[in-house]
Amino acid sequence: MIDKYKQAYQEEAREILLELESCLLELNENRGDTELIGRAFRALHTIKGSGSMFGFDQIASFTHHVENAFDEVRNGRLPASADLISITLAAVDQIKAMLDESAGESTRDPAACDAILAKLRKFTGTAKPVVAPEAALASSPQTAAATAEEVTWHIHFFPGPDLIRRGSNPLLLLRELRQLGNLKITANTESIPALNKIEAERCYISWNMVLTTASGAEAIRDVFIFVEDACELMIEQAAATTEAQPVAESSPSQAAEPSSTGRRTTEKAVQAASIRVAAAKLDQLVDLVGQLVTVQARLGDIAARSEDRDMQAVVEEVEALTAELRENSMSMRTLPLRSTFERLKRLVYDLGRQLHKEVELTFEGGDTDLDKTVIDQLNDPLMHLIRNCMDHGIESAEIRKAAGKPALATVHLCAKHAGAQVLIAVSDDGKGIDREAVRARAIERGLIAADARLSESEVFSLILAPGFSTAAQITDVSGRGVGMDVVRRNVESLRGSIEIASQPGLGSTVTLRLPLTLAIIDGLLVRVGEAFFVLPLATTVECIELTRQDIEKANGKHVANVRGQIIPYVRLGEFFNLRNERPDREQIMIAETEHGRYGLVVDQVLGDHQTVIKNLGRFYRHVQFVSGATILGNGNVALILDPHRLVQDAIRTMPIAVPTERGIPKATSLAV
Amino acid sequence: MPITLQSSEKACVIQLEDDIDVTCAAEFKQLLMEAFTARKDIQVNLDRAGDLDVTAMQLLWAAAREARKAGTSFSMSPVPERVRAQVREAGLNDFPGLAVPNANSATSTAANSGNLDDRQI
Repeated sequence: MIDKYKQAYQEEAREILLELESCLLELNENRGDTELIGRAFRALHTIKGSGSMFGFDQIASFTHHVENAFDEVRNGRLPASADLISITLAAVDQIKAMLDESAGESTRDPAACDAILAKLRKFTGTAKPVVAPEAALASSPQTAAATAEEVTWHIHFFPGPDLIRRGSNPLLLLRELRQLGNLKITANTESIPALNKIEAERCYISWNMVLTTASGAEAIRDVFIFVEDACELMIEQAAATTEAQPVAESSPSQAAEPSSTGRRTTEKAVQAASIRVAAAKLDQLVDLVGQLVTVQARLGDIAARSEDRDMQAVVEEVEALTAELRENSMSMRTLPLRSTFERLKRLVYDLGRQLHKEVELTFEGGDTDLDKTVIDQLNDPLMHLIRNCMDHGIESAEIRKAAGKPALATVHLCAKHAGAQVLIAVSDDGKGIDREAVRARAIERGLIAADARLSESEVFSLILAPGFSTAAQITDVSGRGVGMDVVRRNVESLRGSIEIASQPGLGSTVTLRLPLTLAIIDGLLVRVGEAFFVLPLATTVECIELTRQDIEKANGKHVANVRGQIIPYVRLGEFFNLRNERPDREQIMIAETEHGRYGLVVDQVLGDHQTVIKNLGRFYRHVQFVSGATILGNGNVALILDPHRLVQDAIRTMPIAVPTERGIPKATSLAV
Repeated sequence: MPITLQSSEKACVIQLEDDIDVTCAAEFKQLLMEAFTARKDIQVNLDRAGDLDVTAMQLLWAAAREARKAGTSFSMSPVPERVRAQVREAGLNDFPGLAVPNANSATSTAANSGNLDDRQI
């Protein structure tokens, strides 16, 4: 059981480190922000305290020194300088390495640890009172006097039933509290049941304490910071309880809200309403739901052929429940992109220092949810894109100034949903991609013919080729032509696509288009001849009928008039070379694609379909317009189409019309 | 094994060794229960005990109280200073069957304890 908690500590510590890193980078921008300083301190305190409890003594001991430094900052004796932040970030890396080592993943360099501690000691050894200008203005002589005075606090600590099971030791907390000042402890033992009724691993004792200390409520709460969600804690100033009236007169807001330093259970109870589940278990759940969906489809097929009304009713209920279960289990696997974006701030910070460039990372759409599997595979592509744009795209401060740009460059990340996909754009305000240089390099490497006629986006796409680089020199950061190839391969393995746009002198944008999930989607099942296909519901706008008269009216062109709007279409039968007889009435599934609205003509629409995506295997990995296959209830296999890529392919290879900006097809259509 | 139970004709002796914490709490409870079932004098030997955590203290507390109710002889001996300090730090000054002197900064609720200074109940 303890090992389980050790593992939980390792996971939680990594999360806290991530938050700490983000907090430090924010602090680097706003050095006087006391809230950020407090957050950093609390994060360090939690890592240290929990580490000590779970037997991570090295981590606890090392973090203790970093925490001390931030305590000095918190108490105004040390400024949150760029150097201190830099060393603290290095310490964060060191703690990560210690966690890796404890998990048996790698070994760390003890010398690096000593070097960091030596640097920290230089800081803490020279600590002296520093008062930020704004803090000096804000603090009155009375408050200054108050902070130096000792105050008596009543502390009521009621451990929850699971506090010890989670690996926490209340006695260590009491010991830590004792370090803050003079502590009187009263243990309440009335809750200890009879021996035969005791749950041996549960804590029944609670404590009332009186602490006289110069530390504030925040410092007291910090002692309990890592058990807050597993206990009830009340911290009340002794004067406030005995002389409540004067306090109420001087500060009505405080008097009306004693819980600001008091019991925090309600808030914590809400936080505690979530549990940590291993990702593998969620994967297994989704896998099982996938199998259930397939079985349910079979059941639905049998029910459809049966005349048993009762059975059909039950099957409908099962179908609804399966759909709900599917939604639910899928949502459990989605995560917001925020933490992925936050993590990149550190990369930008480190690269900025390495390349001597001032770069700010901004982002929007951090709340955009994406399947965890997709997110896991996104880290590398995003990292390479940022390395690339910081090394090649963004100019030095001098060049930027000379070009009339601000010295501080910006890398902007933007995420948003687009139907069943997520678009993630990485933009920079650098010099842009040199189109001619890319073209020349591509010709030199034999990727294109010297007289090849390529659109702008096709030229930019050449930078995704393996080993492609226009960089004059290879740096530690990039230039080997590997990074963008990694981006391409990772994105393609996710069945995503990449678009690149660039304007000389203004910067570039690389947009990754990724599927929301890799497991189960809502689809529309259609039939063409004897073949079945699934179209993602999220990209399907509507379905209209295509009669022979409609075809004649269009003079044989592959276009349909939909309420006055001309929509070009692709015949799936022709596209897949299926030899089927056209029915009198066909259906056009109108899909929203990146090329505009296009129709996909099918023989019959069979209805909506919960589609469990099965990989087609590596032999079909180059078939871009098919994103997988699914097994139908009758045992047949249906291909899942990617309308964007299908249309893209059709535009290139088939006689269909291309919509202009006004939505009317160009006359260059080759359709006959 | 940090906890062992030895039974003689007259007494059950529970020997605690090393740290007694949540990892062996269930076992400690089981042995205490067995000792009570044996209806003999119970002696908890702490001389080789390391740190006691809250779960161990609770079990000893409950056992001492149970013994008093049942009229069973229950004793803890010898109690190293280390253990006394831990009990004191936990605010359990009036631990049944365990005198904790010099507890000026820690007091437990007298109403809840038997206030038993003797080692033997």
